[in-house]
Amino acid sequence: MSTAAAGPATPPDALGPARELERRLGDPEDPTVEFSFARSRSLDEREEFPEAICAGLTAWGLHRYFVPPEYGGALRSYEELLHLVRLVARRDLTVAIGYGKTFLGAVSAWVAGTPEQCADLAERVLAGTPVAWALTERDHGSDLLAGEVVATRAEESFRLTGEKWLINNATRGRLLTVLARTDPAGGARGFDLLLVDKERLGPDALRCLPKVRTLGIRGADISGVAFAGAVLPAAARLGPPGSGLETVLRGLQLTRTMCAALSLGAGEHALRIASAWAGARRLYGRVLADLPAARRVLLDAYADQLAAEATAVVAARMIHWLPGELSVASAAVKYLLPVRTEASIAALGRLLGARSIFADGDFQKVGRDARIVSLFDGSTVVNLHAVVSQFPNLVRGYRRPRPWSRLRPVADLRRAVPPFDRERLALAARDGLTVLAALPDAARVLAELALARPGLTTAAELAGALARHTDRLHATIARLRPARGGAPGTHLAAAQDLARCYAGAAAVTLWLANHDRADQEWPGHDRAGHDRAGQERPGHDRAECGSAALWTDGRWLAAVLGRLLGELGEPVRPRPEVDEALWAGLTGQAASRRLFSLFECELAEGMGP
Amino acid sequence: MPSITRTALTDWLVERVAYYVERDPAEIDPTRQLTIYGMDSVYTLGLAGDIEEEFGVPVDPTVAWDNPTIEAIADYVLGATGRD
Amino acid sequence: MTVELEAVLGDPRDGANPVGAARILRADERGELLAAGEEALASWGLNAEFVPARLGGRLVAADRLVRAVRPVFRRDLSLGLGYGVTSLMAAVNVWSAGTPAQRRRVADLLLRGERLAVAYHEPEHGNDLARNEFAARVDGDLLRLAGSKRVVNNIARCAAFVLFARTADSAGPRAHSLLLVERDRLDPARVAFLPRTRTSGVRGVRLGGVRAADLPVPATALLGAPGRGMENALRSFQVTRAVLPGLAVGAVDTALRTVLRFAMSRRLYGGTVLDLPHARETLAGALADLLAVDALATAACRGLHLLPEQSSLHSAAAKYLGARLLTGAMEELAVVLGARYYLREGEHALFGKHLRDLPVVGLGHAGETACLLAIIPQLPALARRAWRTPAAPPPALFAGPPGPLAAPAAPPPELPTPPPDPAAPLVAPDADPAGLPELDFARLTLASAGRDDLTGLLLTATVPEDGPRHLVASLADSLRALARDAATTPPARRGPLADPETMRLAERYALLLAAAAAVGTWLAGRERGDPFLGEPRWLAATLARLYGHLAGRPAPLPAGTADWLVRTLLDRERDGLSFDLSATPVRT
Repeated sequence: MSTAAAGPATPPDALGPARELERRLGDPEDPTVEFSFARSRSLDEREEFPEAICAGLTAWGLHRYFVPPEYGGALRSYEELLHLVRLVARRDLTVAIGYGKTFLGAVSAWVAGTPEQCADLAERVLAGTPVAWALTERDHGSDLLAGEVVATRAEESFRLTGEKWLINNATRGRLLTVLARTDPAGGARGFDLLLVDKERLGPDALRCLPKVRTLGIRGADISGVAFAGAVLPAAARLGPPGSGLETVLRGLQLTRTMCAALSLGAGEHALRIASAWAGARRLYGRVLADLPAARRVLLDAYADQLAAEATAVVAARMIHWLPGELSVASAAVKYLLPVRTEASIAALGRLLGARSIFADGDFQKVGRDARIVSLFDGSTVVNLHAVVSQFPNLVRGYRRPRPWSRLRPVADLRRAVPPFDRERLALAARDGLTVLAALPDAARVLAELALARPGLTTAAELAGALARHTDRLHATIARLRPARGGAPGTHLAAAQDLARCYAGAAAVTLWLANHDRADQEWPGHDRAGHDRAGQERPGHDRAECGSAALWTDGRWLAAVLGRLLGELGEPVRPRPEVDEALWAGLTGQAASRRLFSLFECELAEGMGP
Repeated sequence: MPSITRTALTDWLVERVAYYVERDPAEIDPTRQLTIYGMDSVYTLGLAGDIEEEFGVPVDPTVAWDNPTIEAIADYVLGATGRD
Repeated sequence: MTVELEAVLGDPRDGANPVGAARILRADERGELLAAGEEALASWGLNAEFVPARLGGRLVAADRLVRAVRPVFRRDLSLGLGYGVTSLMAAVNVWSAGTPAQRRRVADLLLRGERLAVAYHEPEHGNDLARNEFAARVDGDLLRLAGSKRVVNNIARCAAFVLFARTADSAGPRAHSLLLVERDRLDPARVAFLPRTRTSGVRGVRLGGVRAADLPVPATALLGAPGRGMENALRSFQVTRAVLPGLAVGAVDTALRTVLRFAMSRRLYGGTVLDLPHARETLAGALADLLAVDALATAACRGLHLLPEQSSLHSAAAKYLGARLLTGAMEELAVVLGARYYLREGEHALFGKHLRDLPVVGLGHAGETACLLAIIPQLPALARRAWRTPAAPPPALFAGPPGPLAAPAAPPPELPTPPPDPAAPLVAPDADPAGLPELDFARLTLASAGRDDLTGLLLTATVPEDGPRHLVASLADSLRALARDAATTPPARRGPLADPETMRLAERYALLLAAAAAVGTWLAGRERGDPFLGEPRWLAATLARLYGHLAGRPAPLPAGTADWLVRTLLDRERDGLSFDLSATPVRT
């Protein structure tokens, strides 16, 4: 039934490092394992930073993935990084955030630093040094241009004064990338980024502020720093004078895209708890998961998890292939995934009832932790404004239709990604989003495929509906007057819809580019259904536990598009055949302890310490 | 590319900015910083696309950051097209 | 006159206030209820609000109870649930099913300041009461108890608890009975109180459990006829389901105030947050939702007195939708507060606590699904009867009580009235201006038999020209569509096997009921010349929001309403008035 795959003999396996890390971390359900759910829960209760767990990640080498290969690191593919961080996040968001923060701290150098600066920083990161990114201040939140931390230039040095607050790892971080006002008049060219090495500062130059107590990620080091005339060498500045804001906006394009990993991990964890419970609990004489309304909640959460994964994978690959479009893609992803994951977790929580808030359970922790993702690195509203600000570009870009084949390399997971080129990052996507401009063609191609394969009809119809909706949305956007800031609800609502169209279009693209391969198998898939020890696991044969069945006839795509179209206000009718495939995917991946995913990734549950 | 005169370009920019900030074009002074009219810096990034579409001149999105007045933007665009 | 609770609890922002926000937050951190708060409520005589006037308490009308107790919920949901409402949940079973002696006993306990608990929950069975296993077997003039209940609030520190127990082996609705058990009379060798269940929301609430092993209690502990436990429990739920969402309005009132103050003072992008359209629209939308819930909950509470045969519908809808809308409004407000809502310290920390605590209102033994399942089987009959020939609601349904709390009526002398408790002084007798008949538990029925005099308002109301006619017309169309869809629900889908589309019918019903309550409240307010309630803009905004939920997509607020609602918020904040329908003075 399968055809020979085109492409190289050993296609790239972006989940490979994640799979390896997962095995190394061991069974999270075993409380004797260092990085177990129980350990994380207890650290959270005590509000302790997970030092030992982070040390374990460094021992494995996760920090190497925060450093570009040209400086000796392993960050060859943001797709790999996405999956790595997601596997950490599904155990404990506090760890993923506390550890991953180093990437955020370093990203300004990667996008704006000189080779020397990058090499120096790489050396420190590769040595396991935590780096923090100090952008926000107590009274200004997301309004970076109101920042009052000042760096005054004197000869060959800067003097840094003022306070940064609500900074992740402000206290633990030994290096800080600080956004400081260098022109008293401020403005878009009035700020610079300075790389501060705490250990090279004089005494009293810096004071760390107390840890702030938070609703979730209670163990994280969320604190601040106050600089009192800290003297920095002139070489501390990253990029040319006045480039601070620009570099921040470039760096955010990478970090916002990678935030998808946090949402994926949180969604995964919440769904695994809820599906296990609903599969075991009996209510009204039946297994809860067999009650139609309860099953709907699980199916929707699973479909949303797959939607988030498809969106995230395409966006991560865009970092390499279409960096010029990231300014808008990253904002759409950073808006959409966290809020949809929060909504998913809330729905699962209602299914769990009182159990969802029991302190000795993990669900309440995931729920509290996941809420941070929509707040940092640009909040929901900030990201929506970033999309609104690009409406004119999006409309112009959409008026230049592109063939979907243009996206094949972007979305074809058999194709290795080219090295990331920071010079191609742009603050505005002058050609809009190719994924959207190619959607009409992609929908047409899908419809043609469906002529030969009637099973595809549902997915093709839904893709057509999405294309029509996207078309109307662009017409609506074209009629909106441009906003100058503080956009009204109509604009923000259009941006929310646009992000959903983008997610749906990314899903269509991903399916089109990979479905021929999915009929075979994904890397990491064990043909015979054996576990690591070669033992056969019950319910573990390919048809049941593999992701392959999800790809057949575009079933996962239909599920994902159905959910998104519903949120876009399009009428969506129940599709039993799609639900059946989804349910098989969900229960199969749960029973065989695999990641809830379009791909194959065995988890360490049950493998023992 | 149609020939651009400084006056035409400046007038067009004044109109455009007035449209963005919902004011009468007569209130827009080409020699003053755009930010005083309430134009958020993230939103000025969109101006580059407008210029490119109208005049066919590729300009960097940060054009209004580095050239914060309408006159300065006009200078920059005319410079980029090699005429004045 | 009693001193109003708002004054007793004082200014939450006053650091020296023993029941102020800072103390509430510290107690929450420790996972305790604020002791000073419990003391303040006890000395004010909170429990008297739960005791019918004829038994010596102050309970005359359910909507007044809500307004009297709301100040607790403005400050601390944990205290409101952990001290007060649990006792009410237990007591209504006694008022509705108990003998005169049981009623007298429970009234005395409450008026003495004791707590009651309500032991329904068996974690293995969730909302499925019919499968509960905790057994009570008749043995002469004793009942022998065996089994365990968990997640029971205050079980380890109550004077008495109402127990839901199996008294027959048969399956079905006649196998269970309610018992009233006095805790200190139990044989300590045969009963164990289980360790506390800690929670991430309402952290101060003391959830525990009880395990009985052949534990004897006198047969007189039976509450109501044997085998009627399910029925009596469902009847009592109608009262608590109507009351709870109205109380929870208090928490969102404070949350809205917190975010409003933040928006007024926080500078962002060269102005204040309140200058940003998104913030204004969110605040306005939250106020519209709060008013919708207050209108719905008030109608459901007054309906207990006026339309008790329909309360099974109205109270289930109020509980379900009230929890949903209030939680949704909180989530939207959190977006405006941004990172500040995530902090457990600083001046906005109380918002975060309300956000953690509020979802609990949607849980409990009248959880979301249970509420929807109470509505679904009734919809086909509504389609055949109520919506074909719509009846008008009694005018008294919307006659009050907005305005300051009036004094409750004197208790009719059916039962001997005890001497007035100094902790719970009876207020001067006065006629109930709203003309509510006494709450008659016997008239609360488990199904409305095709009657619903409230939703019919959408079909029959004549909307004056200044009102949102188009919206009302659209909502009437939605009701007709619901009638069509409900008529075709197959019987097998009307129970726990309801599919999502069928569940959605009940959600649609709840949204339309809220819309009808809002329309009725507006029409009555207009007739009375009430400057706020008679104003069409709050109604238009409220209906637009409800319509958005019906359509499955948030709808923009009608032109002009957002600014007007924000101005209302600012005016009320300046004048120290609550944001709910009654605009009463608050100390927050």
